[in-house]
Amino acid sequence: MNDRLGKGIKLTAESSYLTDTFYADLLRDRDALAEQGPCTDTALTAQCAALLHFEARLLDQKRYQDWLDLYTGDAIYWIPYDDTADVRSHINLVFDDRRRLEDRVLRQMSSHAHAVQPDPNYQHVVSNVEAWQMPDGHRRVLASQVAYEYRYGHEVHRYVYRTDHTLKQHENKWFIAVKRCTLINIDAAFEPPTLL
Amino acid sequence: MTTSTDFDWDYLIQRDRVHRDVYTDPQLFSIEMTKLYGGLWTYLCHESEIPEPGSFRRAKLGLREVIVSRGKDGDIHALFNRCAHRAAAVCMHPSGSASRFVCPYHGWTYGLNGDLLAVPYADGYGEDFDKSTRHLPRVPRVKSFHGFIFGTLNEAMPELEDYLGLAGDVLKEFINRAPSGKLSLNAGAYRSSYTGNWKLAWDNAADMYHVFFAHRSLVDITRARNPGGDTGATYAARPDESPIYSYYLGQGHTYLHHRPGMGPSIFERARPAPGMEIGATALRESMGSEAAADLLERVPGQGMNLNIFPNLMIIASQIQVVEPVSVDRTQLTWYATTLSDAPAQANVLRMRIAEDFPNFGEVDDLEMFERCWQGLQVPEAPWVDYSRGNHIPLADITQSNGAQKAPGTHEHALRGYLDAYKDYMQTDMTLTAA
Repeated sequence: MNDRLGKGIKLTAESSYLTDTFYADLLRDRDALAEQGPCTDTALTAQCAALLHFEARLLDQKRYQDWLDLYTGDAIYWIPYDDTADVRSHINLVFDDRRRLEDRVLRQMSSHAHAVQPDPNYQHVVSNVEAWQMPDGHRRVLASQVAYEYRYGHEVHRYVYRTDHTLKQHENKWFIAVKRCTLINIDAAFEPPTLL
Repeated sequence: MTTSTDFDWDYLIQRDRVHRDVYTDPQLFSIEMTKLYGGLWTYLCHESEIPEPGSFRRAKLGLREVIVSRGKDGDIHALFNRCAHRAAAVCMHPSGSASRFVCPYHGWTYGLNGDLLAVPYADGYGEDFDKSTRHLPRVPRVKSFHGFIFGTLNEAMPELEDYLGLAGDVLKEFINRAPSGKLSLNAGAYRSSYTGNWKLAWDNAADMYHVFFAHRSLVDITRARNPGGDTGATYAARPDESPIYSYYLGQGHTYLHHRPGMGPSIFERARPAPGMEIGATALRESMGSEAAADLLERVPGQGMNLNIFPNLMIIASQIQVVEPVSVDRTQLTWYATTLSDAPAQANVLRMRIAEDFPNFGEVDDLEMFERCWQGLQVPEAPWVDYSRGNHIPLADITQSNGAQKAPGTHEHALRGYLDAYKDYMQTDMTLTAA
């Protein structure tokens, strides 16, 4: 066993929140911004942009526990194949609850994850941020992102995607409850990204 | 033009080793793309993807673009995506529903069965212009095996059932693990690709030897979740003695059977997936524990990896299609399957479990294929070794039905498929479009 594995990563044992209601709400919320008008609250947008920038930097710096700490205990980290499909009857490139997201990070940190050895360098770029305070008290943040990954001996891989964050407040701090990344070339064959 | 008689096959493919040219020679690849892909029965798509009259889906027959369509009367056609006029592709959508195919170049219009219906300004052609000979060229033999549609351009191929042989029995067993024997392929697909020859994926498909090395990270994260559990330690200690078997089934088809080594419950053995515990509890409450237990066993992969030569693999609950792009580039598409006659909650779990291995396992397989491809670029070190278990006489591993069965860690299934490959490559084949 690789003793570096999971060092400093806190593991959640149970996956206890993906009920029928949770799925139904997730799909309803996904579609809620379809006709959204412009974002007018510049202070809110700046605040949310700062969170997205911080998230991007944590990934670039490989501060994985700090990155996980941005997420709620009942988070969804999601890269759909079809942004209109029902996730209950379709697979996604990624559909992680908190536990599987931790597994993803654990694998990423393993020196036996051959597909990410030697350890790549990352650069996540955030742009076009728009944010809204929602009636249910949550915040929604849309952005355009580009992620670059470079591993020795390989080309730089580039991923172009739209992000949709749902932020929830807990004790005066905002956490990521849902992050959905829609890749522009999701219907093509490509090497999957490490972490968007 | 290079033909298959230009190759010294007995030198290139020996009993315990294979020459790099079999993977790296572009001329040999061209021969494969006609003789194997199109010459043999080649998987095209599943009937559930073209459910009703007018449904169509694009597919590949090697490098040839095909449209598989369902005609007005429900019959299935495989048409080359190539206008009879100047060869332009008539269909660019991956799938959908249509009443006809219109070539965008000069407007030639075809029916769902490929018949040429109309040509613009037809009086510009002479009186002997015969529309009936100018249909979309067709794959002459198209056949469905319990929903799996195959095609061949080779009139000399035996019937599909005979070509599948023992593999057909295993495929039926896989299908019948679904309630009422009904699977649907409308749940999305993983599309991965790698730099390397398509046969590297084939070599890996019936190989249990690589698991604890190539997939070490997956084993590690599973152990981190379950520090006191076995998580394969017993298997890792004595893999040759484990009840996990690889089979050579004839005609190039291979099979890995894990189920005997998976313990009493496949579902309980599946890696943690989102919502797994509460989903299972909900099913037990709604169906009763006995019916739920039976259904849950059908939700994850069935411990059966079946590989039907040259391009169809059943891996866990998914259908993987091997699509060679060039001698050094391969696409692998994994279609998720849903259980048509199961409660929605069962399919939710099936989807979440199906998402696990491509994310945490397949990525390392692809990496291995690329590393093999790198290694194959050394002309002075041309041999690939697959001698594991070759010291055991074939008679000792041959079953009464003709299948060869050995520990999953042996490489006899590779030797078997390459034997068949060698035969196919040397067989004279006449391929024709109808």
